[in-house]
Amino acid sequence: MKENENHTRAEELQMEACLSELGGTQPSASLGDRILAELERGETPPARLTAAPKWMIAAMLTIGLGVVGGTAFFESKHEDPTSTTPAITLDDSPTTDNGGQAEQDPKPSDKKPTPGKPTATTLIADYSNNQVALFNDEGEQLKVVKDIFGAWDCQLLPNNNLLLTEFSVNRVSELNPEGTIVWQFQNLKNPYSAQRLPSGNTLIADTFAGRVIEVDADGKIVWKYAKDIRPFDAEVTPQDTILIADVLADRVLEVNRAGKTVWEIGGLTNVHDADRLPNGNTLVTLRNRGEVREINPQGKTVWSLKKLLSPSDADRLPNGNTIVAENKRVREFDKDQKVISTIRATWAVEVNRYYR
Amino acid sequence: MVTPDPTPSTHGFIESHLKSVWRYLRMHGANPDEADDLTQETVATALRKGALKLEPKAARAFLREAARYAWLHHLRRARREPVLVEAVDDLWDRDAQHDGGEELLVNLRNCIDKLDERALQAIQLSYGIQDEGVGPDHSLDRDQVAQVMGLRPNGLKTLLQRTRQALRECLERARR
Repeated sequence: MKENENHTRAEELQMEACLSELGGTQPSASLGDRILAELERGETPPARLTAAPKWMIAAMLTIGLGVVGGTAFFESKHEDPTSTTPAITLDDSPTTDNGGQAEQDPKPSDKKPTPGKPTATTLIADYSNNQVALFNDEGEQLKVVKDIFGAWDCQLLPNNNLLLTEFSVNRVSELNPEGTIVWQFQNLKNPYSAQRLPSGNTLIADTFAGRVIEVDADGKIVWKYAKDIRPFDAEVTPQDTILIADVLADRVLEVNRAGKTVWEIGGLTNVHDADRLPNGNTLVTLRNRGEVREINPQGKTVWSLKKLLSPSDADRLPNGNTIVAENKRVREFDKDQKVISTIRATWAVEVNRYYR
Repeated sequence: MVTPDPTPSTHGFIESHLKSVWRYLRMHGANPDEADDLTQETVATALRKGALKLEPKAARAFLREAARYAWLHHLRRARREPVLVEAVDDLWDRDAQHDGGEELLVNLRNCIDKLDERALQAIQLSYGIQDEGVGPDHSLDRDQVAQVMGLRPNGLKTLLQRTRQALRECLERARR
C-alpha cells in the first residue's frame, strides 16, 4: 500500500520536474564552466563523494575499462567547425564488439569481398550511446563515431562523408572520413532527421521548431513548410514532393513545393518515419504501436510488421527485405516477416544500409 | 598538435552528461539551485575518478550512483527524510536511464499537445510552456493563472491535478 503511494508521489515529482523543464527551467548556463573551473582548481571533492562510492567507482571503472581495452576502432570527437585540425583519431581495425554485436554465426573477419560485387554496410545511430557505428555485411562493427549528442539520424553520403542529426544540441553536421566537420547548420530546435539532396541542399525535420526546411550549402533556407506540424521525419520523393511524418496530428502528409497537401493519411499514432517506396507505396514506422506498415496510395495497409520493440526507423532494402531500428536491436525481416539477422545496440533509432 | 587542457573529451563528457544528472536530481525534488550545485559536484568528481574512460552506458550508471549519493547526503544534512528515493530511482531506471530522460520529455510534449483546450491553457500558463516546446520561464503564479482563466484557485488546483493525471496516463500509453 505504502509502496503504491510512494510510486504515485514519485510520479508526481517526475511530472513536476518535467513540466518545469519544458517551461524553461534549465541548468544554469554557467554550470559547465563551473565544473571546468572546479577541475582546474583541483579541489578535493567533498568527503561524501570520495568516501562512499569507492566500491561502485572501482566496479564501474573495471567494467568501462574492460570495454575500452577490448576494442580498437575509429573514434571521433567533435570540434569547432572552424577548426582545420582533424577532429578524430583514425583506426579502421575491424572489431566485433563495443555495443553492437551481430547475432549471426561468427565469420572470419578477413573474408575478402567478391570482386565486382557491391559490399553491404549498415549505418546505425545509437541515441543512447551518443554514437553512430558502421557494420559490415557480417554484422561486424567497422567504425564508430562518438560524441554525437542525441544521434537521431545519420546518412552516409556518396563522398563517404557522414550527415548527422544531433537532437540534443540542435544541429546537423557533415563530417568527412577524417572526422572533421565540413558543414554544419545550427539554427534548429531539437531536429530529428536530415536528408542530403542530389542538389547538395539538405532537407531537415526541425522537429520542435515545427518546420521542415531545405538549406543550401551556405546555410540559407531556400524552402520551408511550417503549417501546424511536428515533423519527426521528412524526405523528398522522386516527384519532388516532400513526405512528412507529423507526430502533432498523427499523420503522414505529402506536400508539393507550393506547400499544398497532395496526399495525406491519418490515424498513425507517434509516426516516426515515412519512406516513399519505388512502387508508390509508403512505409511508415509507428513507435508506440510497435508496427511498421506499408500503405498504398489509397490508404490501405498491404504489408506490416507487428510486435516490434519501439521501432523508430524502417527501410525497404533492394532485395525486398525490410530493416528496422528497434532500440536494443536492428533486425532485418523478409517478406514473410521472418527475421533474417539481428544486430544488438543500446538504443538504435536509425538504420541505413549501403551497397558500394 | 598541442592538446589543450581540459581536453575536448572533458568538454564532450560534460556536454553529454550534465543535463541528465541535473534532470535526475530535479526528479528527486531538488530545486534548480540545489540541482546545479549537486550536478557540479557529481560531474567534477566523476571526471576526477576517471569516468572519461568509461563507455557511455557505464558512465551514465556511474553518474547516477554518484548523484544518488550526493542527493542522499544533501537530504541528511538538511534533516529531510529520504522517503521517495527508491521510488524515484525505479521511475528513472524505467523511463530515463537509457537516454537521460530526453525521450520522456519528447513524449510529454506530444501528450501536452493532445490536451483539450482548457487543460492545455492551464498547463501552459502555470509552467510557462510555449506552443513550440521549450520556452523561457514566464510562468505566472497560480493566483494569476486562476484569474486569467476565470477560475477560483481551488478550481485551478483541481484542473491541474486532473491534467497531470491525464498526462501520466498518456505517458503510460506511450511506454507500451
